[in-house]
Amino acid sequence: MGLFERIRKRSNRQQSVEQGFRTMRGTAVSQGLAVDPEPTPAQEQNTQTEANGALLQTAAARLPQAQAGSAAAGSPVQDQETTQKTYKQRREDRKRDKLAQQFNPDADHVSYNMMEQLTNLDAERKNSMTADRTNRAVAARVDTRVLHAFTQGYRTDKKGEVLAEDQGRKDADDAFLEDYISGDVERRWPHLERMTREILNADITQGMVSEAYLEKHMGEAWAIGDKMTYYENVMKDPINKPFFDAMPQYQLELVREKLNNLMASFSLSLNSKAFMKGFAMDKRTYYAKTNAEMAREQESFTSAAFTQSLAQFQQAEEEIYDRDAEREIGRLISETEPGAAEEAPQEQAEAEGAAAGAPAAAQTDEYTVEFRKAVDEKPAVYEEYKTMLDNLAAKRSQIGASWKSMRQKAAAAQTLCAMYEDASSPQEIRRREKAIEKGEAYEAEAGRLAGELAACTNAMDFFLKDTPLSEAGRAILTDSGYVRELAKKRFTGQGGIVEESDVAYRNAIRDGKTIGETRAAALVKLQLRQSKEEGAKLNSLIIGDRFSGLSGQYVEYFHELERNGVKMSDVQAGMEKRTYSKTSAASYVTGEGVDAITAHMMEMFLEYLTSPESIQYFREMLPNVKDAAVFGGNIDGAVAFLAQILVNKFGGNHAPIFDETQKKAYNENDAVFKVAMEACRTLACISGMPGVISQENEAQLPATIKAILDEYRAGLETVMRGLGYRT
Amino acid sequence: MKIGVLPPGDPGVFRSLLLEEAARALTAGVPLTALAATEGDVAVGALAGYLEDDWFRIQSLYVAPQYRRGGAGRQLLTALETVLPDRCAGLVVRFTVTQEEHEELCAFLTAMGFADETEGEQNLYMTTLSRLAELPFFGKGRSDARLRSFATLDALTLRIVSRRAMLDGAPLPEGGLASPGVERDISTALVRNGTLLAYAVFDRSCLHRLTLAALFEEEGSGDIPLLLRESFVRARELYPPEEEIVFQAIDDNVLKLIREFVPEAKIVSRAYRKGEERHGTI
Repeated sequence: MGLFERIRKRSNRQQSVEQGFRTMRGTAVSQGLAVDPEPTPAQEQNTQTEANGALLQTAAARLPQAQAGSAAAGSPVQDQETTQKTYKQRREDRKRDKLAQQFNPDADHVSYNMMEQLTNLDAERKNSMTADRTNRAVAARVDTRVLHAFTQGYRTDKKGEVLAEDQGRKDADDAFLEDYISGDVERRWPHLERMTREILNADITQGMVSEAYLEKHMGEAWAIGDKMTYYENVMKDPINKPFFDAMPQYQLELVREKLNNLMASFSLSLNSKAFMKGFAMDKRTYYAKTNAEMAREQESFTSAAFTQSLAQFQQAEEEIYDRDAEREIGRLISETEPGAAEEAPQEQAEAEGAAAGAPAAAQTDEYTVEFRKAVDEKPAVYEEYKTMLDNLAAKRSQIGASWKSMRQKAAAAQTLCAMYEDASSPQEIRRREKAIEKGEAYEAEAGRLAGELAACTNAMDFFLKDTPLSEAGRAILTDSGYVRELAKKRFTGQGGIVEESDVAYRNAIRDGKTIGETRAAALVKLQLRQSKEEGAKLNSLIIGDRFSGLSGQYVEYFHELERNGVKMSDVQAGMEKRTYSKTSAASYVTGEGVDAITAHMMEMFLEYLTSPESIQYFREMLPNVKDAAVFGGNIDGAVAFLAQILVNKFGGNHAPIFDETQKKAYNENDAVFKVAMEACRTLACISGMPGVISQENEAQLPATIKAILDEYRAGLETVMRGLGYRT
Repeated sequence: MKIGVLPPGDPGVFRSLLLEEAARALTAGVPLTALAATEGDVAVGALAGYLEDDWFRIQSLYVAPQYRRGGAGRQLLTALETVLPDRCAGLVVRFTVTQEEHEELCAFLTAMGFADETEGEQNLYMTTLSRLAELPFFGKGRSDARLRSFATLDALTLRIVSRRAMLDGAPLPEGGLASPGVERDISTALVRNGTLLAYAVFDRSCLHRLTLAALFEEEGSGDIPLLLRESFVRARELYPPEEEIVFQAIDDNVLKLIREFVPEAKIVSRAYRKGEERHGTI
């Protein structure tokens, strides 16, 4: 700020306002206080200038004029003066505290400063709103409150002449007032635009109703409130109707939202702040007395209401820009020639498709032709998976349509963003931000849809063209409920899991492996034993949650044992490890206590194994593996193998009991764990015996173990009957 | 030694003895009171100022180095005091001390009966990056992944964050957070999901030096120390150790911050006064 401006600003701050000071003077006189002669605003404004002028004259009179032919070397350097004049301001504040408190004990320098700004505003506006203009406005039935609210006002010197730096404001006011009073909407038009801009650009924030802000900017805040209040009258004026009819929809919505949501609460908030500071804002007078508590309560209430209004407005504002963006994007799309919007996305589709791991052509409508061609080439495959393939094709078509739509929207959003490239007004900048936000969202969604499209295509190609199945393709099949079809294709299809197992089987025979080794090599390749294998994962998906209750039952069973007084440490002590052949899979544990536990656990497992749900599982999964060479056409062997897998996963799984012992939930945690683990291993061993254990070895089994084995075999028979392989 | 008055208008040869701002004001015809000291035909010193609230504010006071300690400064002040109106309470002068000769001015004013009123002002504090590095707090150098320099925030994010800061009533530097004057590599923000939680903004608005221009944190979050540390770490990477940093104690909170985190920073703003406040003046 230059020196000149500082002097003037200082003058203005000290300007006593006619109305305010009259009031203060009157009250002070009634209280018997001494009062300085009342200065006019123009005189006050000029005080400092005059004082300095007078000082200069005195100096010129008393001192000779300085003269020199040259200057000594050297120049002062001062990087910057201090930016705040706080000592002086504090001193001034103290003075103003005393002044204000003469009229209201709750008033202070803040009250004084607020009042001063308001009366300054009034005085400056009055310079523009002359009596003549007011009369003409009334005669022309023009709302003078509108004129007053949207007049800037200007300052004058002691002669009443406009200050040079305020000439622009005066000229603007003159033009505005004359044009508005004319009643001609064409003349009013540029001013209506200005008035609307002022409303739209008024960035009303929470900070604006703080005391710190209002102390310095009460005039501005009041002016905003004033404008919002009377802009409604502007909108209702029938002369102005063409202007508002032509206003962009989003602007109309913004203005209405601001007036509806913010106007009242903002003005109330200002008024209650003023009340708290001891003066009436609208009357520009101090209250003789203020109920401080009531004032604070009122302020607190209006402040909370304003906060809420502000939040509502911000929310509404966001929605308006959102709707506007959608509207504009829709308009751009409708204005685009058919097909044109898809040309650009074509390249992007191919790029996105390639990124998603699918052939470029798969992303286009050409795929429909390819699909029909593949169906014609493999009618048997199509028939086998008809329902699934038709559903996938329909799904693909749907995704494709959504993707195209998203690409169109993304392109339109990009065009919209480019339209606001040179955005300068806050509203246009906001529209551009929204266009960017929308564009990014559409792009992201288009990318996601492209991935789904590629996954769908991959899944269909997997069946029709035997192309490798991607993770995304697998996911879409399982998510769409086509696990069984997928499992069938993977196990029994060309190059599938059963084929691999058969190769291993033949190789083992060729290489002279033992029966056991040959069987083991082939069974491993069926991929059902290791949970990380694809076959095991598909098997798990088919099993679903059919056996999920068993682990909880095992946990509860061991708790019940302890509750019934069974000491697991004794059971553990009585355990004896045995084996029925030389392999580790042939190991089992027997003992008086543990045999009973193993038998009970087998009972619980067989309830699940022989349930209708389990039979259904066999019905779905058995066809996938029964023709594997390792089973030699023996259905019993295939069923026994699948049942063994179920025992390993569920019946012989001691993990849940381990988890429970980790929580120290049992009386004898370690013993429970050991007993449960060995019982589960025994169950797993027993499940591997049917079709494998020799008669001789079976005869040597302890009676208790033999009994459990017989129970298990009975369970398998029940399954076979359920599958229709036994009568 | 003679003392004379400079009339409004171009100060001519006396220009070099006045601060730029005062010289421009005189040239523009502002009613500034300017006195000059001459030794023969050579201008050796000048003083300029104006009345404000019944105090005379000295805006410029300078005597050429080779003519100091010769009474020129004293004579200028004495001459000024003889022309001041009775209602004038006295003289006041404020300046920043960024060079050695400014310290000389402090000594001169004290000798001339001016009282040091620096304490209690919203002063400017200055230190260097190397001194900051010596402080245990800033020496820790641990970086926090939540903090981001403004340079990593794109212009759009800065505008959005600026708007939200305005909505929250948070302090902003001149021109907002996206202003070209903001030191983007050093200014640090804590932004989460588009929500501004805290920031420390640096520019060169004060004394043309690295300046802490705005500081904000959500109430009670305690992020300011982290922000400052992060900013200073970056500043040390970018600028030499002797780079100076300025803080202005705009309120008690910032003053407390300065005293806590940069206790060795020196006050570079000075205020001196000679005279007595008179009651009854408005």
